[in-house]
Order: sequence, then C-alpha cells, then structure tokens
Amino acid sequence: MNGQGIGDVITWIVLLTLFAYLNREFEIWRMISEIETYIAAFKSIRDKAIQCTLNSFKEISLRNEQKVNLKIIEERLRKLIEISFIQPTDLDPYGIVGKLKHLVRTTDKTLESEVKTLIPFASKAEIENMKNLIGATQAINEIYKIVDHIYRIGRKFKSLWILMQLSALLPFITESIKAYESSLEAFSNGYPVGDSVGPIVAAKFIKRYGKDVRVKDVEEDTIIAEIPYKDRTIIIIKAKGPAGVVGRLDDAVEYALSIYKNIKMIITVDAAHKLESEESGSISDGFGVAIGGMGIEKFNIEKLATLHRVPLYAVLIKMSEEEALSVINKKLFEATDNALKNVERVIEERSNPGDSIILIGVGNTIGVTP
Amino acid sequence: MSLEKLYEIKKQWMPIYFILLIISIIVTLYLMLMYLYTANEDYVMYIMLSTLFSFYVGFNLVKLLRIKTPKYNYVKVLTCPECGYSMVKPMAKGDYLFKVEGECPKCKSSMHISALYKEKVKG
Repeated sequence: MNGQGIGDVITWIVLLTLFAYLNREFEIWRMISEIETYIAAFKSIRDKAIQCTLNSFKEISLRNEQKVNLKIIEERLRKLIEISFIQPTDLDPYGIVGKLKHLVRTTDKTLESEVKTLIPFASKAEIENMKNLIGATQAINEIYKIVDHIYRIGRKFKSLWILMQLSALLPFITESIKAYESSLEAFSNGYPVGDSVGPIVAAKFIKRYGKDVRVKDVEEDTIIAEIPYKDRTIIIIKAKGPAGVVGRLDDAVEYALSIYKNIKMIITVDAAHKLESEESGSISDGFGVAIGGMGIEKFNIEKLATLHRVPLYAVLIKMSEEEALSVINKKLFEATDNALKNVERVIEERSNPGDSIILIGVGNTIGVTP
Repeated sequence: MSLEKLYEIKKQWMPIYFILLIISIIVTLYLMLMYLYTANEDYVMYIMLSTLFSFYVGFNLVKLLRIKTPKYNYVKVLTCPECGYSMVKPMAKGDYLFKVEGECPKCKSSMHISALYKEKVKG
C-alpha cells in the first residue's frame, strides 16, 4: 500500500465520521424544529383557552347586566390554571378511595366558590360551565408545560433519545390537546359533548316512558326518576342538567339501594374509548361499571353491588377522545337511539316482570335535561 | 382549532417548497440537456440526485396542499310532540336537549329540541 492509498483511506474515514456526525446533528435539528412547531401550536391553544374562558366571564356578566373587572379575573384565572391536585399517598392503600373522594370534593367546592366570587350573579349552569372551562384550560396548560419541559431538557443535554421519545408521543399528546381544545367551544356555549351520550340515553328513556313522572333531586347535582317499563320499575339516575356536571352517581346508587329493595341489576351507559379499527358510535355490551375518571364512583358502585349481590351490566358507546370532549356529532347522537334499544334489550332479557332495575346515565350532562 | 394552528404553521413552508421544487426541476432539466449534449456520464448521478430531491420537495408540497380543515354546521332539531312535525335550525347558545322552544306551525303546540349535534359540511 503506498502513501496515496493510506491518504485515501484516512480521507474516507474522516468523511464517513463527519457524515455520521452531521447526520445526527441534522436529525436532532429536524426533530427540534418539528417539536417546536407543536409547542408553538400548543402555546397558542393555551392562550386561546385562557382568552375563551375570559370571554365567557365577560359574556356572562354582560348577559346579567353586571360589570366585572376583567383584569382581576384574568389574574385570578392565571393562578387558577396553575393549581395542582396532589394525589393522596398510597403508602397505606387502605381507605385511599375515601381520601381521594374527599380531595376531589374539596377541589370541586373550592373551584365553585372561586367562580362564584368572580361572578356572584351567575346561574348554576353558568358556574358549572365556567368550572368545566377552567378545568379544560388547566389541562391544556399542564400538557403544554410538560411538553415544553421535556423539550427543553432534551435540547439542554442535546439528547436525541429524549427528543425521539417526545417526538414519538406527539401525535397522542396532540390528540389529547385537540380534545380539550374542542371542549372549549362546547363548555362556553353549553352544548352537549360526546361524553353526554350516557345522560342523553337516560334522558331519552325518561322522555319516552315516563312523560309525567316527577324527577327527584337526591344528591348534589344528581337526579333520580322512577319509570314503569314493561311491568318493571326502572330507577334512572343521572346528573342534573343542563349544567355541565357529572353528578354524584355512587351516592345516588346508595340511596336507591336503600329505598328500593328489589333491585335486580344495575346498568351503566357511558362513552367508551374506541380503538382505531372501531367505528365511532358503535355499541357494545359489557359487564361491570362503565365509569371513567379517577375510579372513585366506580369503586363505590362495585362495592355496593357486591354487598347487595346485584349484577352489573354496561352499555358502551364507542368514540375517540376528541369526540368525547367536543360538541356531539350526528353519528354519536344517533347512536344514543341504538344504545337505548340495547338497554331495553338488556332489561327484557336479563330481568323478570316485577323487578326493579337501576339505569345510570354516566357522563357530563351539559346541554341535556332533566 | 389546534389543527388549524398547526396547519397554519406548516403552510408557512409552502412558498419555500414551491420555489425549491421549481429550482430543482429546472436544475434537473438543465442536467438532462447537459447529458444529452455532452454524453458525460457524471451527469447521470447528478440527475438522479436532483430528481430525488425534486420528488422529496414535491411530496412534501402535495402533503401540505392536501391538508384540509373540517368545517361543521351546528344544528338543533325541533319536534312537535303532538303531530310529529320537525324542523332543523342552527344551534344557539343556551340550547339544551328537550328545551321547550317555539310553536308548531302545523298544530300550534309547543315544540321541543329533540336533537342537538354538529355535522360535517361536505365539499
């Protein structure tokens, strides 16, 4: 091998090393620019959410012919969206559901009193819708801040792996943020959302079979109605609309089980997360309690059902995360009729005349009465 | 919506992609002509590289052009419980399911909102 040959080999090695280095740098740059685009979009959504919430405060005050200081509201709102919910410790898991319930109720009550302080003249529905709006803004703000934090860490340490993981998760994060963003429109206008399918089915059942039936308030934001259906008694439980509330369904079930002695089954109707291959609005049956969230109500209803040996059935309406939080679409609204048919079928097939059945419409009852 | 914002940011790149596509096509054509006139085989590699670049830019441009933001109509269906007559109206703030609203033009009974939903605008 002569000097020329060695020189060529060294040049090739240097070029290949340089190429590999530049390729990595280019990959990081490409990823950074992609993440930055998303972060810019998330930031604008966060700002839009704050603006939308502020506009809603303004609209409510205008509607009630009251004057509010928007600057004070904005300051308060910016603090409210930074509030954190601290999960109770699970070092000793015994009684954690009770602790969680207490914390959730405290958070809810405090947020309600905060909103009432800002707009004392607002109606119950307006206050609940504002609470929902603040909740959505909080969620958007949190997602934006976490994504921004991970991005900054990745950039600080020039870590391709951190950026790659973030980049891989961005489509899912965008789905979530899109869902929260589309909920702003529904909550600020008081329109039903995809998650309202459960209460819609319950409301339709009341409307169809219990026209003159009196609806009773049992727990806070929760109603109960006793409907006669094919020689059976159907006890409908749902959150009280049209405010954007989810009600206290577990407490209402406890109340119903203490009043009605012949309960043969509990049916929950709720929105369920669809898989990509599944169609929006498709209906499926299930066993157990179909309730999302933190699992407090699910746990309590399961406990009560086990105690009273009552079978638990569920009717699920499939939808995406975005559909669940945005204004209900035609497909999902029509799916509530199919879900109602399914509920009727479950009642007829799995119970006998003379039985009592609890039917729970699970979800946010925004824009749905009673 | 969030997607709109994302698309807006992405669409800012459209003029750049367009200019790059035109430049790369011109360069490719120039290289092709050079190859035809000189028969120098070095040009073949350059043509390949230039064509690949043109495809890449063109593909991204098409992706950007195909982005469409969906538009929705927000409607409510008013139904008369007596005669079954129904009509569709645009949804308004404060509307809720089973809200009593308006008078039936046929039998003069009170109508109620029997459906509230959004539907995609076609086209």
